[in-house]
Amino acid sequence: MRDMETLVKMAQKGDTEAFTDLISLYKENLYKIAFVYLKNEQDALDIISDTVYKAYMNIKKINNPSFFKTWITRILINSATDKLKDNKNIIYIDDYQKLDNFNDSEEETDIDTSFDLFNAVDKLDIKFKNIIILKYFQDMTISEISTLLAIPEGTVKVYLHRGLKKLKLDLVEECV
Amino acid sequence: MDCERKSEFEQIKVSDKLDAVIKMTIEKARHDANKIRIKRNISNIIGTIAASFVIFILSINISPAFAESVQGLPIVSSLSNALLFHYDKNIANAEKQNVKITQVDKGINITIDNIVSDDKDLFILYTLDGQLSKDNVKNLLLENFTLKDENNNILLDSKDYKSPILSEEVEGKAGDYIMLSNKQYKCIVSSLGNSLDSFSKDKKTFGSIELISVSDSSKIPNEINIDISSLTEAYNTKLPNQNSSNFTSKFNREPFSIEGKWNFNVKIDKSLKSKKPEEFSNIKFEANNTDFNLEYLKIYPTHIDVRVKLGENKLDKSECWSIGRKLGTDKGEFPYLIDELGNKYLISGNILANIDSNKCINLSFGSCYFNKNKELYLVISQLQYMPGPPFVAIDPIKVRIK
Repeated sequence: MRDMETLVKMAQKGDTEAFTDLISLYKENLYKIAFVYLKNEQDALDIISDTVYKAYMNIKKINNPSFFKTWITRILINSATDKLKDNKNIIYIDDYQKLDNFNDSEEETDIDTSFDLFNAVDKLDIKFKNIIILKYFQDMTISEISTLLAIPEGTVKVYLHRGLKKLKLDLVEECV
Repeated sequence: MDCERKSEFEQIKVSDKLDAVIKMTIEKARHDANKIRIKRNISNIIGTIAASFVIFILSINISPAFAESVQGLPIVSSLSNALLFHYDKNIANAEKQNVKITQVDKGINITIDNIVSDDKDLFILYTLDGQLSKDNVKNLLLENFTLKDENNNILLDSKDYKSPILSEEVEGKAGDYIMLSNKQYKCIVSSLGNSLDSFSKDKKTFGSIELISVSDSSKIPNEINIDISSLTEAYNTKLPNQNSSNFTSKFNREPFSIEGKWNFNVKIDKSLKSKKPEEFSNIKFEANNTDFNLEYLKIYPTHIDVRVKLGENKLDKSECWSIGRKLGTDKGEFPYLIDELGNKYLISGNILANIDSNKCINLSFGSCYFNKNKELYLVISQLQYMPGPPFVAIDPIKVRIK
């Protein structure tokens, strides 16, 4: 199979076969991310369909083909987020502005590593969930997450910290 | 920890339907993209052809009765006639800005007499006086010129796209016309004062340059620089009544151009430019089982802005995307405004306005601003739907605006 950047360039010229190959490279990973968000097969497939459709219609907008994976992941996350909103599964938290004085050094956490993060993450607010999924299921760096979600690195760190803290609290409660 | 989480993530079972869903989605996207491409291509073709016709812009300006009567009128009344030519119904109330700047070169005086303007349209009324010219000129027409804003950005150049076709209303009528356009503006140069037959009497003529903004991003600037670099005796166009071969056969020589420099800077009167429009809003109506909402209609001095929200057909659920659009010289199926006296105000500006993301269409019509009419109606006789045939002809509906 041709390399990803070549496929992107060919797909941008309208080569549907190249686009199909491109999607094949990432389809399983995308499905799994969708599943982590939606927790059921049908919704995950809906999100995949939505993502693939948007990607096909907008692939010409990618300036740098090497960012394809980041770009399509962002489409997927946005679609998943919208779907969750539609499902009214979100509880909005408005106190992020209060985190201005957050100290970056608090990023390091000694949260217990033995819990089942996969299930617990589902209870998180969407903003935390995005970061946790990208960080721990996609192995992305803070910088990559920042680029993908178009939010500052500092904010990513804050969300990561808060997300992990909430996970810890939730798990402690469950244990009790 | 990471390994465990990663492992858990990797263990998520991928749906057996994933490949089928992706295949189906790509097929649908490919189909839709093709549809959009075809639609865009058609729009481009329509745009190209429509730019050739430019009939609608002209039609708001052309009163056949005036076109006939304008011949032979003394120069002194040129301004009134030019305004009458454009406003047609109520010249006395039209507010114009007196400019009266004259530039002389090669024995030819060009005077910018008046301007009438709002944010979208600008009429520049001029006279050309060739009495002092040493050349035995047979007629004077504006040939090469540029219109620039206060920062010398070119708004329109006479080298821009020139329509090769005139509308039926103008064909055979007095006057020589150039219709120019680019993506931001359209321009109609109407040389009205004299023809080849009558110019020799007093060597003077007059006309107007109408600059029309056709995109949301283009406005009429606060200052306008008019740089005229040549005049000609006859336009070398393929238009039947403006072909330079008429000149050649009449005078046994080719028409010549007179190159020179006639530059003008005109500050546009802000009070005139910022005239508050007469506004009407939220007028709901139904046609062909489709709900419409005229979100607003604003009457400015030189144009009327209309925004209409288009609904979907309640029977077949097709989506309405236009309220009238047709190629060719038949303008009957386009929407127009009409007052209680039967005066029609036809589409001007961008006749190819597309439906926006709010399912609205913005149109611009000729203005009845100076007419003080008591009633005004929007008349629609054709609709376009997607999906559907090219257009659906309906019994004309008359929506009362005021």
